[in-house]
Amino acid sequence: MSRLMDLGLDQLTKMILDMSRLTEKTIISSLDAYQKKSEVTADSIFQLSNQLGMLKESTNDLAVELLARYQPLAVDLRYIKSCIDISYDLSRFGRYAYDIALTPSWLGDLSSCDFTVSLDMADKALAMIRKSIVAFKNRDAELAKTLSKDDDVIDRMYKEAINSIMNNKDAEMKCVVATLLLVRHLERMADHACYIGDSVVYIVEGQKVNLE
Amino acid sequence: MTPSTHEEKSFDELDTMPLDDKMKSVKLNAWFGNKQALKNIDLPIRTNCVTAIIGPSGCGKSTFIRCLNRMHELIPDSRLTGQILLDGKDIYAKESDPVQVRRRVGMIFQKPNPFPTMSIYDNVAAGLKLTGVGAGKDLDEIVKRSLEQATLWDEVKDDLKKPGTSISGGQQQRLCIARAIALQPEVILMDEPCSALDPVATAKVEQLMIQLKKDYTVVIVTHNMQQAARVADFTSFFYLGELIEYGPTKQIFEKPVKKLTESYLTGRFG
Repeated sequence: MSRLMDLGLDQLTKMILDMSRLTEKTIISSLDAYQKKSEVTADSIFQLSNQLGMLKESTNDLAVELLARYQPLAVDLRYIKSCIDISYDLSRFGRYAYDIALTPSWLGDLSSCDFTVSLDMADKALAMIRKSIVAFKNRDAELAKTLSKDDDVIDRMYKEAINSIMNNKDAEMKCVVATLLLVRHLERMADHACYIGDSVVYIVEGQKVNLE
Repeated sequence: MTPSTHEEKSFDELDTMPLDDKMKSVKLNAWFGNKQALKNIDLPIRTNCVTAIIGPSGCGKSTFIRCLNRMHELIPDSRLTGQILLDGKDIYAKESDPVQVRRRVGMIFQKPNPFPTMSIYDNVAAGLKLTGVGAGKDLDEIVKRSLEQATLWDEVKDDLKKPGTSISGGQQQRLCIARAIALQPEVILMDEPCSALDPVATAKVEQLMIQLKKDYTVVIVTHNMQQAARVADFTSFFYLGELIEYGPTKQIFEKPVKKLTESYLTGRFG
């Protein structure tokens, strides 16, 4: 027989997974906007980011209601606390995506810039986000722990991108700024994917880790 | 009364700080006839802390608490092996006096049980008179101090001559606590002390527990896990007469080590 609280916990899971799908869409759209690959505008990314913010509030409302109604303990308590944290991480992805999408409106046409390295970094950051959500969905702490190595790769790419910019004296200033902004946002996204991984480990094992 | 918290020490500090054992059970077994109610229980009761005992009905938690002040032996056909140490001395040793043990280790029961024919004052003084502990002492002063410690003085100071049963259930329970305190015990055992009380009275008794641990060592048996989470420094989980898990309350309720504890706390039992 399922418990009364299980209905609420299932709903909480659904809301996090809805947020994660919206997050993925928002990030992909923001990268398109950044490269002007489609008609996607920063305004539309702003709307998606706002939706993520509202979903975060709804998730937190439900989490607080579950705490008040059922006074959960042990893994239930850890799960609800983690959903609050993860909803924040997901909302931050929305905010970073919006910042990425804003870049062309600040700097103008970026079609002359070479974003090969930073877009490769974007693929890897997006893969980390997807992996963190799979780990959450399957409550797979071992998968979550592999995010630490992924984050090392991102950190290395971030440093290499900065070094590359520093050593390229001939680069166009707007390309330099655009690349710097993009890699910085991607590096922070990867950190938040690690935070989601931290939450998964906490849910499953009760241990507080720092995968970043 | 102002709300109390675990103001003296954080849970993390409790993990690492050296703590004395006021009491300790060592390989404790207890039976009712042929039925074994407790199996090899080794459990420390930390000095000036609240220790909660939780578990489903029939797990042995009330039997355990009754062993702590030799009340178990009052039940016909009961027996016990192992040791209960109080300040390092076995309370079941031949030279140990059960009356003296029960004076040092007081008990509060599930249902408030003031003496029905006695006034509020006499309820508090009764134990002192019966045991002779109050001989030559200022009874008025002890009664006042006990009622103050039980946070009841302000509510009954003008009604001391009224029957002990004339006050509310929550006040009666605190009167029973005052009666126990009057004998100046070292340990206070509470067997489901709030199960007959409304939430307001329950909150007062819980606040009182936090106050009491400054001067006494407290052991509480409760079915209410949230109550254990609120008041206890340490929590032990009993199941089918066995001690399954014991540790700082934060650890037990947030990340229990044993699967059985996890299942009980999350209501996935059976």
